[in-house]
Amino acid sequence: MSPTAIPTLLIAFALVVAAGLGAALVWDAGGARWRTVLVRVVALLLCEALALAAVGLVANRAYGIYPTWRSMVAGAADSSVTTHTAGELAGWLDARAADGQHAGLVFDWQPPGGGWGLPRPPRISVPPEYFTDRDACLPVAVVLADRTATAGQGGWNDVGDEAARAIARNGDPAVVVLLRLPDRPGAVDRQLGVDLPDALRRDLRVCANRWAALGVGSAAEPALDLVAAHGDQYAAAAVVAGRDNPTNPVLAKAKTIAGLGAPVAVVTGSGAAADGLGVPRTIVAAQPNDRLPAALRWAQDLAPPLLAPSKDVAR
Amino acid sequence: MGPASEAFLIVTVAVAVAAVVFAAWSWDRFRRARVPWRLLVLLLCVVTAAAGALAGVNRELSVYTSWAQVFGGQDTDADQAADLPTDGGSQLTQFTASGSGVSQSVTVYLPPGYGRSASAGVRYPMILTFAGFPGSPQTWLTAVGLQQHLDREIAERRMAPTVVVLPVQNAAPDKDSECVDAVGGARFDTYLSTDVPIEVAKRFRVRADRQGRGMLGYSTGGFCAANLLLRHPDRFAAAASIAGYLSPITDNDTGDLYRGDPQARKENDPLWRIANKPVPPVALYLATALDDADLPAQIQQFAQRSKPPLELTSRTVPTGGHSVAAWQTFVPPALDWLSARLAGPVRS
Repeated sequence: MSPTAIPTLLIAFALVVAAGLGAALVWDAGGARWRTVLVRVVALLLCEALALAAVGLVANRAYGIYPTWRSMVAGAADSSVTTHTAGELAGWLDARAADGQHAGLVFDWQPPGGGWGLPRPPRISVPPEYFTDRDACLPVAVVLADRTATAGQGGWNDVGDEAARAIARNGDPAVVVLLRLPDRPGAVDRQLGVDLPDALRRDLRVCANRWAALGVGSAAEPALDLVAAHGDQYAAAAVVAGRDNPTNPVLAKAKTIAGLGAPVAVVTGSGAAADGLGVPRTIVAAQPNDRLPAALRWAQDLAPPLLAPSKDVAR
Repeated sequence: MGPASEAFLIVTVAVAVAAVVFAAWSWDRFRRARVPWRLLVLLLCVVTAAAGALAGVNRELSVYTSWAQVFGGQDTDADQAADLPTDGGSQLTQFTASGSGVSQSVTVYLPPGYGRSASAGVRYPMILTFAGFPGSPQTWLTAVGLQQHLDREIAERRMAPTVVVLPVQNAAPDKDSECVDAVGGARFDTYLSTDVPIEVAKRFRVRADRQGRGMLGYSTGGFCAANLLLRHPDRFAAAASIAGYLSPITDNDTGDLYRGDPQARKENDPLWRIANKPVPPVALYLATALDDADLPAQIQQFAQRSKPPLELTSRTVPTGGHSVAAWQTFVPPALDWLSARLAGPVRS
């Protein structure tokens, strides 16, 4: 019989009546005057307590506060704790932690399944926080560019880890994936939208979602498409001007996606190109090699903070 | 001694017990008017016992926190922007926010470190909180213990330092606004979703973008958070609704908020919106105890209808009912979840 059941309420009010009758019976008992007063006080307080309890049960039924005796007595079950699991590259990275915790690391990452038809393996930058903040999941920024976009063309140079790390450092504490697209970017849409997040989560301690996609030059459109098609994975997009300023169709697409609520930024050599198209955030960087760092800084400002595992929600 | 203070509760209980002792002692007095006298002292017992019980409920839920509210006047406490007691380096402060025809007090939680010179250029994410009905920002602080939960989650780094805003969301303690723009009435939706964030941003260092803004509510406040998130995805990125219903209610406390306009009601119905409006790119956390009336069924219905880009997280515990104990269980993980979905503090 639950606390909200009608029989429970009937019993409660019956007890009030019974207490009233009982009080009447013992009202003049006790003998000495002080004893009589004491009996009356106890009887009255008992009646009041039972009456308030009965009214409380009615209120409990009306508002549905405690539907069971267990919820009334034991309260709510407590939370469990979920922790982030180490990725499969954990051992390999740990061996390099002495270097990584100071300056971060850059390495070529071999995706599973034969490389997805990419022209070269993606380069991954891991920030120092990966080694110093072992509880936290790290945000991810995926930078897309064509086969050849060098740092002087808004992209990055494939030679030398330090140069790549110098660019990616602007996105710290995000894990930055520098990825060159094949000539037909549409062919790897599924790989970038689904397989890359799955594989990277297996290998590294990265956050499950709210990634940023940054597209350099002709790769701007594929980056915007990632947010449009995989919004649950990629939450923000940046268009980074390469050799030329972004075309009007690209800017129009950026505006459309921004209109759906996703943060979108356009990093160009001159603001004039984006003016009049209503793109919410335009960042001007005259030098091409300043544009990708500016885009990474913008993405970093939007990323979730580095946090220890939640009380009970897996990320 | 406010109506929600411990001292007032002790006084009312003491008066109720004294009334009982007085009734027992004076029962046989006044031979000539014994019946009316006995009825009078019994009535005194009933009234004082009821007053003690109401004081206890009011203290638990902090519905009336000033005597001005009890007697129907405007609460003037908020006009004095006084700092309240602090714990763990965090700070509570108050101001009055006006806009859209509403003028109410707003309590603001400033995280530990907010006032340090090293944080001078930092803009913090902001979470708006909404209380249940009956309830007030004070309910969050006293019954739910929000400040302690925030201090702990931030100190243990499960949550980023965040400015948390506790606005008064009803025109009077006995009127439930449901946080909506009432047809021909008070415009609490606009006040809470637009005016309060603007007023907070004028006074405190908070992020101005939607990615840095979230909401948290329990019970009626949970409905507020979910409804305002779906209605204003351009202003908020995430919300956590604890034991919040997902369809608007109309009862004696709300009055007729929609004046018979079915479309206005639908526009404030999360279950209708998720099925009939474009799904916004927001993150929503819905939590309930499984024995809390029809909330589990509503959450299940909402989950079946929701689709990307909305990110839905639902969490249940087996028991807890619609009680403060259940909300206290949900608040820390909800804060962690919210913080992980909001952009972090940023140096401007």
